[in-house]
Amino acid sequence: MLALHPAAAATRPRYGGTLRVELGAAPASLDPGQGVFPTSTQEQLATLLFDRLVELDQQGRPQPALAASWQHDPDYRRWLFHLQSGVLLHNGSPLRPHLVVMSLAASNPSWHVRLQGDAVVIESSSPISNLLAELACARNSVVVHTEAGAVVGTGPFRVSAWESGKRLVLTANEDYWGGRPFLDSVEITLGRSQRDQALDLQLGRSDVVEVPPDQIRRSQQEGQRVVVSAPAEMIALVFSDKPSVKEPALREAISLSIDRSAIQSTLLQKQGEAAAGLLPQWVSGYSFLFPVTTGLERARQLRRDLGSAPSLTLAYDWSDPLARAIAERVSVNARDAGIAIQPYGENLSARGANADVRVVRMPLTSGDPAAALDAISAATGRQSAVQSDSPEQLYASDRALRGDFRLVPIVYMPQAWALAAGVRGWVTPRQGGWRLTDVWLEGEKP
Amino acid sequence: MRVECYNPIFPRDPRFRMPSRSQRVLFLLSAAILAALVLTAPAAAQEWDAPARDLAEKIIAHAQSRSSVSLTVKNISSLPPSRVTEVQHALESELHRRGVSLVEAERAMEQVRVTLSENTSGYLWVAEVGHDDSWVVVMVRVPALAPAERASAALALRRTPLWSQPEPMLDVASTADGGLLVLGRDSVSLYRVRDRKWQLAGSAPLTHQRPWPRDLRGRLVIEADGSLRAYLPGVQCTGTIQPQLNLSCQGSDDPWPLSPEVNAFFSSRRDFFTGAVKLARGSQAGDLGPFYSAAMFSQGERGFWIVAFNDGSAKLINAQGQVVTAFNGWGSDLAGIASDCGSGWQVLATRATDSTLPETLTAYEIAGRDAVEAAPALEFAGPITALWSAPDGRNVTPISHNLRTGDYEAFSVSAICGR
Repeated sequence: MLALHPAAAATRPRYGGTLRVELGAAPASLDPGQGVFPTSTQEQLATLLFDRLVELDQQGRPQPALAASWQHDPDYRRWLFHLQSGVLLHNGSPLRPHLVVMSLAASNPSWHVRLQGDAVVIESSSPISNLLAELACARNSVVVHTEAGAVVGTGPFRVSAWESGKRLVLTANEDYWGGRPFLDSVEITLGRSQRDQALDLQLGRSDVVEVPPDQIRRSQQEGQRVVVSAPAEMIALVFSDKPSVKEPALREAISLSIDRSAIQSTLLQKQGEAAAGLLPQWVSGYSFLFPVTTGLERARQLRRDLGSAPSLTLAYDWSDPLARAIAERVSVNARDAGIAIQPYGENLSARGANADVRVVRMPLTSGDPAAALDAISAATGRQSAVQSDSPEQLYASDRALRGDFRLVPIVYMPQAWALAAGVRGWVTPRQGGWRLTDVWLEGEKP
Repeated sequence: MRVECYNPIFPRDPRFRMPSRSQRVLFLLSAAILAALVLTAPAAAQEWDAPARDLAEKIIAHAQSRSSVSLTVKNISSLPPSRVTEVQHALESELHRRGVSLVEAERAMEQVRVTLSENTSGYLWVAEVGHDDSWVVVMVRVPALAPAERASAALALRRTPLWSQPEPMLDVASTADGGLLVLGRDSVSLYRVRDRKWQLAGSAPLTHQRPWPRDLRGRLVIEADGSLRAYLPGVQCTGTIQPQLNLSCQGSDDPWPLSPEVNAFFSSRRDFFTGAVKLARGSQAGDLGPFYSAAMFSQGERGFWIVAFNDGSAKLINAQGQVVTAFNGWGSDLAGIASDCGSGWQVLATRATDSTLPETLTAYEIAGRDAVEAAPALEFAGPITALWSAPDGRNVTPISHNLRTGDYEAFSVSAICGR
């Protein structure tokens, strides 16, 4: 028997309202093409302002976006994309096919991108069987640079106010080809500390805040509404080209000395997963094959064989407490293998090239293993090692990319968000990020 | 040039190929459809044969010995334990067939360690073949399984799968000659069974001037004369199914049919009915206020509405427009269904939950001012994105977005009495 009380909930989305979001990062630009290491925040903002030709759904399957349909030749060297008609840029002008060509050509110098009638053709000298997944990455957002130097997109929201590194206000794109977002606007405050974010959510001054991995359990225990992605951001060591770290055996010894399981269980409070491969297990399916156990004896042996070794410097982003904790732990582990490493914090935006090795965060750019490996190759300045998307080839590529120990994975972490009670329709893509187009606010009048 | 196909012409989910005999007897689906489905149904364990064969061949290609090989199978995927045993048997069988003699690990010259893993595209079976420090890794991809159906109880909702596809569906409708019409975001597609398989028999685009609203809704109605009508926000399309699918669309604010007797106006830029309703015949009209869904029924001589309003409430309203009562915990989609059980009329409603979560559909009897649960709820693997009553009132068509597979799945739901 049901009581006679009116309900205050419905499952269909409602239109209206302003979503208030707070972030720790403070990007200086909204252009997803800027920056060697695109941060998770840059990628997330890009999905609000810009579109890609193709999107991947939760299962990793390509879905039409700016491209309505596509064809390819049998050996995947030539692809032809038919664009959606009637798509408007935020400045009101139509999205012409040549603008798509210019955008994709700029972000992919190895592709030959050209027009064929109103269709876009992408050609490559080598097969690009995973092109659709590549095109779904944020770095392949269609970005139009105006003569005034501004960047304009076709995305679900348009910029109404932007204070670099501080504040971003977005309003719904009424003419969005994919349907106007439910929200009227999104206000994003940048550069907020974790403490301030937590406080603002508690006081009702914010609707969405970040939760660092080591705080997820605590936040849940305190009754907060926390959504957590699958492991979606890698923390890794990236070695420089300096002579001090030119010996692969030294880099291997450091890799072997790291107690990844302890880092995952203590510093991450058992969130995410210890990483010895470049992809999380849920993406690759084979990462369990790479042992995460410490090889301290072997590390010591390698260190002994090297004879003398210099004291190394390990840089981390000074505004990232987790990166600092991991750097310090790596230093302690390396000392057990007889290697001296001195961690120090640096300003990410003004960093020099002095450190021997850095702790970096690398967002998982795609749920498609081949595209994700390609992105890691590109971010670390290497030629793509992915020859095909067969699981054995991906496994081999993963090993090859780490073969010289210049890139040493440590952990894969989830992204987590704490949401105010009225936030509805929040979907956390497994690979992290946002889908604010489908978010709506309870209590708003339709 | 080869066209990339992202719209399979067969239902992808094994459930869609294996309706039970009772379902076939009890529900008025096309006999031709079901005959074809049953003919193509594989036995459950046989679905492992092909990947087991592929993996066995890869293992053999790298094994140094066939005379004494040990096999271990470990599952780190979401595959249920009962299915793991099936996989192990299938692998053992395929290895035996290739002359491999399986022995205990202690006696083995060669070890095969199989891990049943998974990734974004489905299962991944990984075999490590070798001994001591010499190992080779081989893998095969295996499509993911579908979740099991729940058993039914006394007064039951019976669900029959109709169609599954990766692209969003707004509504489906069975044609008189056993075909199936699918209303998508951009087209209406007609499928027919040919050569024991569902095949695309025609497709007609939905032309529209403005972008569709987010949370797009639409209805598909086959008229008594066999003509076709598609209702979308601000657009109506009319056409024919025979001799071939044909559709013509134009901007329109005409009301949508809620039931054979009542029409309701739908917002051209949003996802709800404006509240204005009118009788299909005659000029009587009224305004309920903006709502997502509504059902009409009668108790004796008295007619009632049950309406899921935009403010989140679900209310029982009498013929004079007065609120009789409100129901707690209901979602925004409801539909009436006629049956031979109880009062002969039930209302099916979703729950008041987030649209990102798995959904249930519950049947209620309206007894006076109360809504009484009349049957165990049907569980769906994702949110219900559409829920429409069939013209005969005896079936309801829910469409669910399966959160695990990402597919949109259309069902026909009926209320049945007793076991």
